[in-house]
Amino acid sequence: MIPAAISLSRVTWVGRTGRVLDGVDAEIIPGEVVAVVGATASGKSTLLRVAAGITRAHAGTARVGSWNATDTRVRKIVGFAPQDPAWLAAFTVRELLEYWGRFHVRGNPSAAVRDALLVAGLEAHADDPISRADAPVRRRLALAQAVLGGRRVLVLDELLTGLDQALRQELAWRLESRAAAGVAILLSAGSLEAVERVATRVLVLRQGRVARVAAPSALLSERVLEVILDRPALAAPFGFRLTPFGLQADLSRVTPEAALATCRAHRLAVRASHVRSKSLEELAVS
Amino acid sequence: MTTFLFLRQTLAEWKPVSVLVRRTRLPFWLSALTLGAVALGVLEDGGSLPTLITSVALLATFTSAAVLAGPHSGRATAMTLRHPASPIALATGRWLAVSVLAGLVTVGAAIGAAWQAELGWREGVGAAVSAGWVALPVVASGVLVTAAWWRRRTP
Repeated sequence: MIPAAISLSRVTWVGRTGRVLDGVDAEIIPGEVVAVVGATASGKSTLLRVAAGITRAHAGTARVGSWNATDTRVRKIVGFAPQDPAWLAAFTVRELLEYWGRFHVRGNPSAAVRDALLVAGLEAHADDPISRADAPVRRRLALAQAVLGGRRVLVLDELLTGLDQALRQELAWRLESRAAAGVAILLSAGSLEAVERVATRVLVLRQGRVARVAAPSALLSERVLEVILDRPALAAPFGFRLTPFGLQADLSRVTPEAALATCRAHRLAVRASHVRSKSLEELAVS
Repeated sequence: MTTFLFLRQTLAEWKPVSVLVRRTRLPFWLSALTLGAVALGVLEDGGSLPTLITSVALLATFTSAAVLAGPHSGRATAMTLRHPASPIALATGRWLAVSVLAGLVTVGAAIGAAWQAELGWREGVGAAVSAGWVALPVVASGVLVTAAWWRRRTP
């Protein structure tokens, strides 16, 4: 059995408004890419901060390898890219990485910086001032500082969110190559599409709890049938639920044709229908 | 953490400091402060050299600290603490940098003011050193307070 790189056991974190995380269990082994997805304020960022040892769990345990996640030695192993990082704007990309590189290696950090630039695809922007760097360069810089020093666990908060498809695919490929080298990666995203290319496993978080754990392909294949009616239905037939415009049927147990046949059998005036992927909220409650 | 590692991390703080000194308006403000103190001619109006030097030292410290350890630098320093860096070493390095910059300005202003008052540069340096001794406990307290604050903010 491969020992877990990150293990979270019944992790609970309480904020000002209540429980942000409520008994979360998760394990990530080396070489695995696990994505945490969920709606806004579902606890994704807090979960990542607990896993990276930036904040302490109020109950339960968070471990990185054999150490407690908040142990200072963990910072040599875990690279964390926050959702909204602050950079010293007066630096160039290379200068900033060299500054941080000094904390990782004795002597000249040039080799470590070169590796980090290569992993993040930042070689062409190494001498650009950060004050003039655009969003994609800043996102790459977040990745570069996380991998700096050859760290074996990466915790990346919304790294792939809000990017155009080409850049997202490129960064996903770069993360996959890190995972192939045995690095454990935990990343968060506000949508499933952002992580479908890279994640081997997805944790769907809802109100601080793990609602679903599945492969992204399995989650993306789940469909619902939306039925728009001419007149509102008084009650939903079995297997359907009422929506503001008509009905909705979960297609995990029934085909679209069979669902529409049920509508006809109940003499419902169907104006239109279409099949779509489930939203994150629907995945979390199904 | 070994003493060697602590000193190495303290020394690493000179990197951001040197970049900020080169690429921000800090040198301009510090030069203006020095020249302003020299040009002010407080001595001619009956002011004393130690009073002038202490004022310059205070202003130089505030100005340097605002740039080197201000809110933005503070947020960026939080990123540094995601790396294997000691908060106390960072705080010490940053405060030493502030003190060195303020010290340079103070000595410059003291020599200039003493020269203008025809007291000779030795009196100027003497006044700056006196002001430095007064400032030492303030700087030391600052190091301790900053280190304690950073330690509380990091797990």
